Amino acid sequence: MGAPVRCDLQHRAHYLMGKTMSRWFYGMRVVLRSLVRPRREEDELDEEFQYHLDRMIDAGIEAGLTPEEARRAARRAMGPVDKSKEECRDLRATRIIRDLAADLRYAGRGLRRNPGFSVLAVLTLGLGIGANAAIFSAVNSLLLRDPPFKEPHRLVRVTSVRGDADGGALAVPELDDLLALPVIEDAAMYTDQGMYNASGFGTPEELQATVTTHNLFRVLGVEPFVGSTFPASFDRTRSFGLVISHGLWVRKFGRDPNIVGRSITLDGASGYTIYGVMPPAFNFPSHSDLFRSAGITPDPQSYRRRDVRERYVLARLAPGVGLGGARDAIDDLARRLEREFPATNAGLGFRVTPLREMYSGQVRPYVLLLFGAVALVLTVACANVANLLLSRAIARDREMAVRTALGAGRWRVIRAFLAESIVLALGGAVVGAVLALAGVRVLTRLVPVQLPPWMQIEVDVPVAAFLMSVAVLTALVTGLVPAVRIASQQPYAALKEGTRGSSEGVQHQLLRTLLVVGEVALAVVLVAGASLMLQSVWRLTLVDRGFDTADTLTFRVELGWAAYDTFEKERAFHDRVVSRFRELPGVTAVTFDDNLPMGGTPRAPVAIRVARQGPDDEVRNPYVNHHSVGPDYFEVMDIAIRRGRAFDERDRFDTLPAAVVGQRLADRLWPGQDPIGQRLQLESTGRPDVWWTVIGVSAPVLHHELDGDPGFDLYRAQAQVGTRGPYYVIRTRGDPMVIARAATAIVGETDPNQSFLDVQTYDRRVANRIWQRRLAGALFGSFAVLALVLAAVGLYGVLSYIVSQQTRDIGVRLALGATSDGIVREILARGLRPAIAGVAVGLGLVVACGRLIAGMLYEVSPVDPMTLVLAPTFLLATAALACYVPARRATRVDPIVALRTE
Amino acid sequence: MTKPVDLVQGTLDLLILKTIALEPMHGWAIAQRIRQMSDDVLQVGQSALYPALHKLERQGWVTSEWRTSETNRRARYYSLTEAGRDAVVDEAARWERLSAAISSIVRTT
Repeated sequence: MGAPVRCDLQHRAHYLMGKTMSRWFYGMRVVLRSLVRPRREEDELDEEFQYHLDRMIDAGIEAGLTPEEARRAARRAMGPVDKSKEECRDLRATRIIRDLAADLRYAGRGLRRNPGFSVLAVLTLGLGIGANAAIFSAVNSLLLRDPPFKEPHRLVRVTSVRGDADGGALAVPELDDLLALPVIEDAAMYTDQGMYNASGFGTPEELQATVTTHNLFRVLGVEPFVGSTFPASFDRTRSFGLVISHGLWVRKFGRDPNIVGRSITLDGASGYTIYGVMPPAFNFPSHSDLFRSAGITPDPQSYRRRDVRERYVLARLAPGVGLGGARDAIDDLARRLEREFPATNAGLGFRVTPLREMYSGQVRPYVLLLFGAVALVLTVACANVANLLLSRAIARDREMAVRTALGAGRWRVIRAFLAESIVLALGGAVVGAVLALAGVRVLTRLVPVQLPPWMQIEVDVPVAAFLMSVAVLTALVTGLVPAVRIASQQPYAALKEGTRGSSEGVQHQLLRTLLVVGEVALAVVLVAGASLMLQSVWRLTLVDRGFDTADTLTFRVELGWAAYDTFEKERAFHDRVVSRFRELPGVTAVTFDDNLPMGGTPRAPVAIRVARQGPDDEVRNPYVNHHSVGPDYFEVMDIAIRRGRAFDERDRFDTLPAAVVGQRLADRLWPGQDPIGQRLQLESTGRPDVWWTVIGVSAPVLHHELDGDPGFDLYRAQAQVGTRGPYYVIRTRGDPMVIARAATAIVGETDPNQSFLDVQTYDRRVANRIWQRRLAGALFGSFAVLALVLAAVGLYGVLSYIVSQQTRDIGVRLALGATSDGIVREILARGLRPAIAGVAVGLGLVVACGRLIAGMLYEVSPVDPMTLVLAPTFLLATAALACYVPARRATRVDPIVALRTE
Repeated sequence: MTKPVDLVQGTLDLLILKTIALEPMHGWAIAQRIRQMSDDVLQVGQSALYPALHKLERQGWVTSEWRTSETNRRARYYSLTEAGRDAVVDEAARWERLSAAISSIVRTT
């Protein structure tokens, strides 16, 4: 009867799990049995005892008794069967579950009787839990979730570093050098930001393109969805191979199954052939519509040049190679190249960054900081609810004492309290879930950058699991405080105290006071943190960035190289649109820049060569931000020319190639010399072989980061170097967005094949550069307010309780002639004492932990004196307010009524 | 009939384990067997027996299943698990040591 199967199971259980595990397995079987079919378990228990009784009766009959006598004798011998059954039941889980259900029901009833308390507690916990879940969803999606590539921990990005300039590109031969290293399994070369104008199918559209070697998808470990990648030979000969994104395939080609081999026109040049379509979720490096084969120039020599650095490297590390090992090997390579090719590689290093950091590196500290802050908020919320529960527990001391006296075990009483906090935490979890969903929606709206799909902030299974664990933790923490108190109490003390009718015991008050001290301390930490963060943001918005962004509209246009194959054609386009922009109402000035400071798509910095420079100095040349600028650029941007002159009508294609250098670059290259008249070459840009003569020096400009140093900037006139992807800068009177529609329409009217993108006011663009800080500041601020309110509620609760407990004392004292002012003062003092202690502890914490956030602050010391004064003042003012109300109430006590209350 | 000996705490577990080590048995049979083996000295009542059996099962030393008994009725049969077999050896050794110690004291005084 199923025995072999059971044997087999036992066997397997034994072998699979070992002895301890098998013992546990058999034990759990009993628990599970009684959980899954409690009724049957109960019947079987009865049957077992019945069997025993029947056998005893049989034995009696055998021994010669009549059946009736045997039955009676057996009953007697058996003794109290119900007690034994109860003992057996106690050994199973049903008992625990049943009791728990009863406890929860009872707790629910108790909470319903006290709706004010319950709603307050549930809301408090809900706020804490919800805020935590919302922030955890950001942690989860931004920091924890793996990018959807094969073994993403083995993927790294390699960029070059020279001087202070970071994030530079690499040359094609350097890719070969990397591929030769044993630490690298595979590596592809790509550029992030290319724009192609797609015309000839549907409405003209700017397509974001990534120029890449054929093996990028192999390195990432993602197969094309349709077709294949372009052949390897396309990497270093002129080629027009394309792999398109799934989105583009759907949007532009209606999921054409015969897409492979189809020829399309980009930037006015026909002959691009589609080789494959990537899968729907594929996203690299960031929302690319197209992947174009790397062979762009027809000159085979250019793929061997070490002085042309245009692309980044994505590498897959060999299995078992750690980041440290890879960095060492690649550093060695950089030093070897320095020796072998001093002309191109002197002073050049390589930086290896894990792929994940490429996406989350900048937000990581902020997200973690917020996670810490929101955990503090939850702690405050828990302390508050624990305090409320404690008040309730104290109020129920007599009930509990009576229960204990009637025989309820201590554990049973503790369970009653835990049940209450479980019910509250479950309510909090529901409120928290709603808040988390809303919070995540707000969060996503506050993130102004386009995140890759796998980093979208959302409430998913891990977040839900987190939320539930936090709720359970909350229940335990809040329930523990009153429970511990019960456990440490003499059962009859409560009864005695109750009959005396005096104020509550000293030790209870101490516990409650300590909770308030903790709440106030954490609130101080949060308020101080918010103050530091917001001051940083405020200071950053006041930073002198070196150019004027007020009332300015900016947007970008990308001119196709096929249609605009000469500087003259480009020039004509720019002249037309610029002059039409000027005619728009309210427009005061217009210019453009293809590498706009704080622009959305900065160009890769390039290396320079300076005339009459020794090899030792050349090593120290930084990478420069090269700008190709429109007419009146410095005037419109309000960047001062400190020496020499700005560009003007004299600077044409056929005149002396002229450059304006930023102050920082001039100081670096020609310290103590006159920069005017110096000459330099720029690698990897338009006209790389031409010597550019410095005609002016401009004031420093913050190129990319508000909290960074000014960049090494170098400007050339569009007329001399050309520009295909400029940002137009249009200064207006009043709100610049008013003319946005008209301005962008002009682009389409001038060339129907052109489109525009990234339309924003310059102010917003700059504000978005520090969006992480703004977001962190805003959230930190709201957490601080939350903690402040919670701490105030906590203080208020404790003090109201004290007042209500002392109604009699106060009444007596008033009757004996005490002044109400004196009583207010005394009660205020009692409330403010823990607040002051909390402030002191909080300040200590701020000073101790300030270092942790120092890296995220801008020109604010973590022990900023203003903060150290402001936060306590704020807290104490709130505390005074919270204490004043109950204190005031105390004086309104009618002595007669007070004496009658007991 | 002499008064049945009160069992020292914990020895009942050993008696039960030892008894069912031979073959799976139901509660009545275990009680009977203990009585017979001890020449009626040890009498185990249901009030001690069943809670002990259920406790041993919860501890994972014993497992149970329903079988047809010698009287052709359904009865719960208890048998040792692997862990139970180890426990018998350990408990028996412990008992030997304990009883030897006690008897040496009893004899000398």
